[in-house]
Amino acid sequence: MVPTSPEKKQLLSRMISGADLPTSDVVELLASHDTLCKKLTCCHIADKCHSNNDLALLTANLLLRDASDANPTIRSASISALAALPGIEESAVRVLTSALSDQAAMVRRCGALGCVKLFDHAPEAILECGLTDALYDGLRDSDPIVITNCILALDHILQAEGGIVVNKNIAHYLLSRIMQFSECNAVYVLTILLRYSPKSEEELILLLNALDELLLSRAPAVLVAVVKLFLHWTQDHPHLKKDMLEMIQPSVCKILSRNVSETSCLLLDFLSTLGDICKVFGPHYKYFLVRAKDPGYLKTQKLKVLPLISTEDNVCCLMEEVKPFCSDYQSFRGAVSCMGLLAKVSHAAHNMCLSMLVTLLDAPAERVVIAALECLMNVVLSPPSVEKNISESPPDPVLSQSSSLGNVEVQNQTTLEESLSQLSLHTEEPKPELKALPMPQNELELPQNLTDAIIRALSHEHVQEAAPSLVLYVLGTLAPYLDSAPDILQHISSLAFSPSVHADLVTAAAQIFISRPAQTQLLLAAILARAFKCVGEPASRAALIYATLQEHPSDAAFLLGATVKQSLRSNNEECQEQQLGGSD
Amino acid sequence: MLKAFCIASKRGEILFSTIFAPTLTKAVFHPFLSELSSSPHGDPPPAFTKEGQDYVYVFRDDLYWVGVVSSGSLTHQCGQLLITESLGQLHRVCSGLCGILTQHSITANATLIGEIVQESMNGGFLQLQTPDKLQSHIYSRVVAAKESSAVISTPGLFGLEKSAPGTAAQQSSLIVDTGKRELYVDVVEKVWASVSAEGTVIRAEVTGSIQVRCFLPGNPTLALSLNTSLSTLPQEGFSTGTRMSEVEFGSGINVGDGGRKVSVMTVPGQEMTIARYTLAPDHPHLLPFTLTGSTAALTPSDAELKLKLVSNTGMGTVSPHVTFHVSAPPTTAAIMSRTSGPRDQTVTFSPDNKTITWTISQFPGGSYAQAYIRLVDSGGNASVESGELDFEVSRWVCSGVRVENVKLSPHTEGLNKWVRYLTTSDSVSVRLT
Repeated sequence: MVPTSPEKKQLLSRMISGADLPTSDVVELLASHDTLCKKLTCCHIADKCHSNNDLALLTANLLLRDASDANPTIRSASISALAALPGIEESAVRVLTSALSDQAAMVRRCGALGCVKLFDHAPEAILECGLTDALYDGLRDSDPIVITNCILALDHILQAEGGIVVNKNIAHYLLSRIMQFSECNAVYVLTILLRYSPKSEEELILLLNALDELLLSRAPAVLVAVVKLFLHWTQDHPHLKKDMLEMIQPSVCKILSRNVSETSCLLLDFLSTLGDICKVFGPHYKYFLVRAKDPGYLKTQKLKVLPLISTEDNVCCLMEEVKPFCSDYQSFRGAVSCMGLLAKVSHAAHNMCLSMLVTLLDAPAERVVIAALECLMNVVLSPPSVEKNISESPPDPVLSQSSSLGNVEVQNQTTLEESLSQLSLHTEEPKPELKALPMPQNELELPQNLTDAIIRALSHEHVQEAAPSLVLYVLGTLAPYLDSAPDILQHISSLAFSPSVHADLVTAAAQIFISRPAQTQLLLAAILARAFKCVGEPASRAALIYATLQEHPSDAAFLLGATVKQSLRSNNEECQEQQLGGSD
Repeated sequence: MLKAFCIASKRGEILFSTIFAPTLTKAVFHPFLSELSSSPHGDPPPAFTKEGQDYVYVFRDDLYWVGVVSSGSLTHQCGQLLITESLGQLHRVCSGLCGILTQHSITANATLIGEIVQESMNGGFLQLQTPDKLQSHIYSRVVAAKESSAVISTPGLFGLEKSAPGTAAQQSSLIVDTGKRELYVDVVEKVWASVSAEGTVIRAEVTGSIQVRCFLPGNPTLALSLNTSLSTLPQEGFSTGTRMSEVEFGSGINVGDGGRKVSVMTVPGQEMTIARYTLAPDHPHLLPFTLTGSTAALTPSDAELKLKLVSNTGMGTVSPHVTFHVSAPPTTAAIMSRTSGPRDQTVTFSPDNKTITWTISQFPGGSYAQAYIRLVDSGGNASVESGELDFEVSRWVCSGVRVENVKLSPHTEGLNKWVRYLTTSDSVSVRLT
């Protein structure tokens, strides 16, 4: 290699940085004998020719001459540049056609991609001159990279028609050679094979056999592409999915154990779309565990996926592992909601979660307390079922990580409105049918330390100010268990708040009244009176509640979605009727 | 296809960029950079969309390698894993050919990187090849950036391998003919463990790898012999007691003598993995450090945390940097501390997230360090549950694997052979109660 002079080096570095060079300099560099100069200059020309018209005219001859140089590197560089130049389409087509049948693989690769460049500025040239047929022939080349470049080129050129057409011959041929492709190229091939569907059972079996070896691949991109293709082809045979998951399990665990953050994150994201993976991946949960050094996005992703692989056997270990992250400032939200989901798996997990919530509710940071309260409602309202299946669990308040407050409000409101709409429909019947509302179980048992912790948490001014709707929701739903609920309610009612929170205040007051009528009677009256004075939602909510209590006192508890302890139910109804008669 | 590619530093500077789509300018990266600086909890996810552009990036060597994908193309349909894998491989190639990758070296070697990017992302279409094949297409020369002498390490000093202790040497493979004749054999192990209060190991996974990098022209055959065999079969007779649960040999490795001798044909300048192994769960794990701690009440409002860190690595080894993070009780207002042992120790307290950090620099093997931390206002019966230990130990590995002999055939005169051992922590959590 001839050493380049300092001026040339400077020009080259300016070229790389994308600066515009005077045309004469470019031509001079192109005419030099140095391979590196030529390569970089050709690339520069290809980039700049659209903005600089002279460039095309002055360099075309030199490039055409270089296109038949002995050195394949120079040939491929000049072919790429020629393809991009405007105004010389016929010569470009000629050069590309000869490039596609060149001896050197490197030149053929550039030829295929050169077609893309030519297409971008002169589409008719490609379509008229039969270069597409030449590219289709290129699919049978001996060099895998040439094949993939032809695929890429055809897909780009035929984009208007929906991309490259994969027929049976092409599909079988490509699959038969797929093991020769390197990782990146194999992914391209597998992705375009998604466009092909096998026509018969035997063909399907043949194709799946060809994929078998690829399912053991350790390259993540290939693995994901193969799984996608497998699932696409076996849509009518869902029983094969489990076998496939078992086959990929060692590779997936190996990839996760290498702990490359981006790969793990994207792979876990893909796994979460595969449906029921807990049986296959459950025993190997250690690869899915969160590590302290993981970046924030990976921790969040792992915490989302952990509930999907939890089984009765491993859920306690998983909870132990997730516990330390509940106080980590980056990922506490994900950790707490993960605990909530894990608690549904078994009774032991449920109890573990409740005991852990006791600690969290006492945390100094109010965001952690708020997250713990959300988790609490999640756990308490849907106790664990014997056969665990997260996807089939009843629709609990979906607590998104960004704004749970909105969802909680919606939940509260819809519950109330549903029940009250039933009220208007069934005024005739004294006892409306029990619809399937998310009613808490009557036998809910909350340990004393938990209720104390809840009361402490709800009494914090910071928590009340930061998340008033959530606090009201908790107060209302767990009213029978919280002794000082009316006091907290009184404190909140003295704070300033928005109309929607005001409406929630009214609802919560009603729910607390139902379980503690004596303590809350005067407070309810005051809140209702205040609500009637406001325009809009609070007044309408208050009116509905007033109407309910007046007309259907015996079903008020059910209709308002309030929690009532079994033994006190009948007493409450009698008390209510007396009080309503008195406070009218 | 990719519309653009750039390498950006943590501060948001673009060190290198190539635009493949003619209609775009460098401004296409601005949404990405603004997302980086505005993300509150660390980096954004590896693939995200902002202002209509799809960005995919990897973070290696303190730099962001970013690609902008054009939606609707075949590359987009292939999924983001393809792009992250390709960017990762591009980084490996660049670091192999450039030597150290820092901001200075990238700006100094813009031509070389430009050529590599051109070869591997031909006009935006990813076509990665293995580094040795790619090297034959590269014509640029590498420019050794003039760095401060603190960064250039003599192989005897450790802990200067920064975030990727796997890189054997910081030389570029392009200067094989003219550079020093050197051979590096690295044994690197990563420890992921959970230790209980009494010091028993609850769960530990130690993964190790043996890597070789040879800066010699031609392809001499390298033969290594180890003191233990790299196999999962139990060994008979006297042995070092190393038990491995998984062993994976790299490609092109010849294994002899039941795993005790390996030989491979070297490629100049390329880093080759001889073997990757995982220690068996019943291996008598000797973690490099034993940490014991206790909390006691000093006054009704203050508690004292006593920590003792003992090094099990024996004389002659050194840990350049050991850190222990622990969460203080929630009501702690401040701390007061005193330490004994190695000279360079600090204890700091961060009031925002109530974390105490105990840092020891240059911790010699075989010694111990103690810290007495007074937690002010934490309450007399406060307790500290668990903490994270971060360390790097040189000249010692958990498994006890030792390279006994390194031979090259044909024999080369004037060759410097370096064998280095490094153990790093990848999440070691220690329970204190």
